[in-house]
Amino acid sequence: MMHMRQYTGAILAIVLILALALTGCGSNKTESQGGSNSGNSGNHSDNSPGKPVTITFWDENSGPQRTPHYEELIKRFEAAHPNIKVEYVGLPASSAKQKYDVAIASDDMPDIGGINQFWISDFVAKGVLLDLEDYYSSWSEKDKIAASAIDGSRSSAPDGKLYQIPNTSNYSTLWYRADWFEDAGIGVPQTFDEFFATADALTDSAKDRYGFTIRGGSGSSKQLTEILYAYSGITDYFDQDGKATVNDPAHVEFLNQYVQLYGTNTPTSDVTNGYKEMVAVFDTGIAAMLQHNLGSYGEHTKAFGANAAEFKASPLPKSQQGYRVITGGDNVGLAIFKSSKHKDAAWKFLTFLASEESQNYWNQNIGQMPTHIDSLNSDWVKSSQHILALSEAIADPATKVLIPPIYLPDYSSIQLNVLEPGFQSVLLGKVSPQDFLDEWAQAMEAALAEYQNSFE
Amino acid sequence: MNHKLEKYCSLFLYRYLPLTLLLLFIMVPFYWTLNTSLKLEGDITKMPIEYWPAPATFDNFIMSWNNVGFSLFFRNSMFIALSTVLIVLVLSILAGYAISRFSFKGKNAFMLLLLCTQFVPGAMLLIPLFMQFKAMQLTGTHLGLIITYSAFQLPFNAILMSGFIRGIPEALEEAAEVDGCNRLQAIFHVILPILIPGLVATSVFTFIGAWNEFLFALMFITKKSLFTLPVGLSYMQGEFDINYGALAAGSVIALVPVVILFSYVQKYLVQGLGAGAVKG
Repeated sequence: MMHMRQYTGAILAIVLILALALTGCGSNKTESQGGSNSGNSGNHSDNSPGKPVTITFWDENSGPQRTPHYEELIKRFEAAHPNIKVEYVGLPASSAKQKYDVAIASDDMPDIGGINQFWISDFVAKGVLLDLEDYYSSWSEKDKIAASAIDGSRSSAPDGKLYQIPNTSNYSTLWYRADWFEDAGIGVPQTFDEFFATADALTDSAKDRYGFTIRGGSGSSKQLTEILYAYSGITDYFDQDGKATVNDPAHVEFLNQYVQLYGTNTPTSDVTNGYKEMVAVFDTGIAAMLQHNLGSYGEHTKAFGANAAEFKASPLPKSQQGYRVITGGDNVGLAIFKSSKHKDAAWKFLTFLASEESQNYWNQNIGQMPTHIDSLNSDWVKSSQHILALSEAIADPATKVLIPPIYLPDYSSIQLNVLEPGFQSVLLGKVSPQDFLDEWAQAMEAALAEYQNSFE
Repeated sequence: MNHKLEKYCSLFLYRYLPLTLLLLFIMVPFYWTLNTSLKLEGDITKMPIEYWPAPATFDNFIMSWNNVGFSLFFRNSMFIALSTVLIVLVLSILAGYAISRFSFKGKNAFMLLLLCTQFVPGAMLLIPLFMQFKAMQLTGTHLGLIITYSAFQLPFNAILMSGFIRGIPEALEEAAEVDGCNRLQAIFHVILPILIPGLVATSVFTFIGAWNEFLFALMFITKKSLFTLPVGLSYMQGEFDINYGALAAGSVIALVPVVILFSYVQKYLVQGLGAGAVKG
């Protein structure tokens, strides 16, 4: 009897606590039911036009600087399409891929989401993205999206099909201190010889000023790829025999010279610099030049404030061959998930975001390049020095494009796990550029062979 | 005199100097966060570095609290952490009591099992747990997080609590039972008041664990209105845009409860850890 009373008491206490917690959470539960589950929750069909539907939209790079602009676009879309409600879910950029991966593993994807071009091959391999070819071919504005952007998306998928419509392009850029260049009477480097000479000329150790800043930490290999191929003029990552071109003699020659900048024409702290640190070096007046894409425009504008005219953008210098090579594969776009029950509504929202008006609003506010041809020709692009400089380089018929093999499932992991620490060893003089590039080439060739074997 | 001077010198050299350096090493990041949170946006990355906010501003705090949503994130985190503490506290008292007072079949195996749960990385359980919770409609709710955090915190705290309870003489309970209490009443009337240091230690560990947890909160919650503080902080960092001022202000806000807790319960905490370590 005594024991009975003890157990009853314990059980009662547990039940009481759980009941308390359940009561406390009641309001949240109700509020959140449309959250992660809403993508699959509705039973409405797009075939019944009058019925309101809710689609879930995941923004892969949310934050206080960007989210309000998406919210404004959603407001405009909902006003134009009263029967479609868009539920916005912002993902922090650093964890967005992980969140998508968990959602895919748990079959809990959104209807539509922003995805980086780098993710396409992985998502297609997992079979979760909707093939957009049919939708795209019947879209009245299909010819208005830059062919290079669409081709870039197609080339990122293992089967060459279209799974993502890019609404923002991003290209590697040489940001420079226009005021320092002017004071020194130096023009913006058009060749790599000029680039190295400029980095040296603008280094003034007495003033703690350096000509350049190298990204040695997180994200370094992507930028290194862009500048290597910009130098060599090579436009194919693999030759016809499946040999990687990354250890081409021209790249070895460049890297030998490039590494000499470290510690002399760049701060020694560069070896661990990720995005934030690298941008801070440029924005705080330590370095005269910085290689990064258009995405850092907002940070520069914020840091320079009223002195925004002091920094400008230029494409990377021309290759040894005399033409520019720009690296693609950095587009951001929108994809629809196969699991969506409202694919037509999601497509409507996608085309709205990819339209000229939306691209104008979006890209102007985030400072990146649109993919809509009319938007590229609009007045705001013509008055945005950084976008204009890059769009002119891209429009130049002599410019060639390198698409890195981002379709290889191992591409990202090799970049992160092999190349980033490897490049740091090169900067610190522990590994020679030749050995590093050979290791890089071998890793990529192995990844390609594995990928090709998977089809046999 | 010389001997005294030598004593002071060695005290300074071997005790106060290393301690001061250690303190500086620990405090500088906190100071830097506070300093950044009080600076104007343009001054944060200005060179030369400003070691003191001049002029100081509370705009970052106002912005992160009102505009970014930290007031809501704070409330969410507080609700989740306190609920977890409540559940863990009661269950760990009961489990700890059972472990320390009863001998039952498989007790050692059970203790080993509790310990083994600590070796399983949370990330490994993410997807199975997500699928379970999805089936139970618990994803996107605070309840899902509370259950997860309680489950993760309970084994360690049960062991910790058993150490405390073992330190209380059984004779006290027997005396209470002689006076007419049943066992549960004896626990509440006799054990609990003596157990206060243990309760405080358990509460603080649980609170901090739930307060700081990021991965599950990020994966389970998708609505901004339900974000917890760590998720809110990561939301402040875009791929290319980082609002350093508001981020620092948000970090200071997130630190406040933890610092207050630590400063008030430090003595219980050390005692708690010690008890758990030796007797657990």
